[in-house]
Amino acid sequence: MAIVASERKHSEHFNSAEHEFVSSKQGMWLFLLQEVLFFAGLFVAYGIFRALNPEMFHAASQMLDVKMGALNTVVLICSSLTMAFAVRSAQTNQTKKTTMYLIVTFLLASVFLVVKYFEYSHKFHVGLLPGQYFTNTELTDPKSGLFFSLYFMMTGVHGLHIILGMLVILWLVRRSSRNEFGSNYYTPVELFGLYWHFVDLIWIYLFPLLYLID
Amino acid sequence: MSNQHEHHEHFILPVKLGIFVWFALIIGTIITVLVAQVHLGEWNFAVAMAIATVKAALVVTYFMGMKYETNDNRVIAVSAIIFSVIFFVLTATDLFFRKDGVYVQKGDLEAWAALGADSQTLKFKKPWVSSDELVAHGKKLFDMQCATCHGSAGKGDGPASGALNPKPRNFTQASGLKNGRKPAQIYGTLQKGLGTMPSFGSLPKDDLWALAHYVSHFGPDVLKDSNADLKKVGIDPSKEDGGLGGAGSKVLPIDFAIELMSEDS
Repeated sequence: MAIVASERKHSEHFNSAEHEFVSSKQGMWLFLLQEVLFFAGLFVAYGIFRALNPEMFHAASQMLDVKMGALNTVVLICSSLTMAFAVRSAQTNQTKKTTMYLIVTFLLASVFLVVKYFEYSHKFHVGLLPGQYFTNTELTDPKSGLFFSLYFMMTGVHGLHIILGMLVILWLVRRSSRNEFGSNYYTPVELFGLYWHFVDLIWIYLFPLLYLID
Repeated sequence: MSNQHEHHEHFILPVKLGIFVWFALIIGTIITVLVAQVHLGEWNFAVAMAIATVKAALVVTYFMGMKYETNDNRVIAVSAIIFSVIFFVLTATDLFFRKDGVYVQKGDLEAWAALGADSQTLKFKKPWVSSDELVAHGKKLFDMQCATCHGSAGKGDGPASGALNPKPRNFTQASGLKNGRKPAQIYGTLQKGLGTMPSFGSLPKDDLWALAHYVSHFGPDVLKDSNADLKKVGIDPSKEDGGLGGAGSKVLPIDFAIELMSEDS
């Protein structure tokens, strides 16, 4: 079934390859629009509860590890760059480089998850858990579990996006290694790039909102 | 070949620009962390959000290629921001500028919670027979659930009425209620909904009756139900519980869930 990029023809219901590409890309932007609104629900909940409990949020935020959060920010920014270069390599017909950059992006995503694993297991260990499961004694505000409900929900849903993204990268690596992408067909790589940058973008906001409350 | 030509017009991120954007993002992250160590009071939040927004703008403009996008896709991206802002502003406005007394009170919540899965009892005996307590209870529910559209005086002029077509019913008039304005008829409408008016069937049955009695009090005169009217909405007046059985489905209002969440944690 694998079709090498140079032999690829656009689907019959499109006028041209360009038409197919533009339509696919618009679909991706529309998907990202609903992704923004999906996350907006969490951000709105965060904003409301923070406005209602400013001191609790400040104290609870101190329990997060800024170094880990900053490290993960850098990791994701790097993965955005490698993803952008993966798209560039496909556009310029450097198929081997495309595969290589996709693999590096995958590895950086794995690093992100490993760091997140260490953060989560520490929180679990000291009872910094959502809502009624909150058992930490260092934080005295009885509502502190609310912060961790938001922390786990927001970073959890974001982490889920990373995991799903990694599965898509594996699929792209497989296709790329079969020379399916090249300068005249790179739609999947470019569209996934949009998704991946979006995931990075969410983290760019999550990091200061959760880790750096002064 | 024409396809290939078209593809060459697509934006290809130059290596140098990519690395420059990456560098700017890293610097932005470092500044964010450093600024957080300095105490600027409320400005910390503003600065952190400003830097995050600059970083986000860089990602969107260059990595996501918005600078070279079609106008269609620009509209989509901008509407994502506009919708989010509307979402946030309206939610905050509702929560922080609501009149006192319109909130669901903790006592109400506990009363509703008491009607949990194992409870099959109604708060009121024979709620289809009007009483002062029922009407007073109905007023409380009406102000919470109905006044937004129907207005607190039942004139169909609530704050949300402007957006509705047809307009919410005016309960002070003798005509206009499609199903009739006897309590049992109003009870039926509450259960099933009617046109734009949603069904309130998830509320406990006696709450629905309290609402029906309260609404019928707005009218020029208060009508009484005959046994036939009651039978039409499934009430058997000869039985102690009227054949109502349970208190309604056990759906918790959202306000309640939020309240519980913040109380429990």
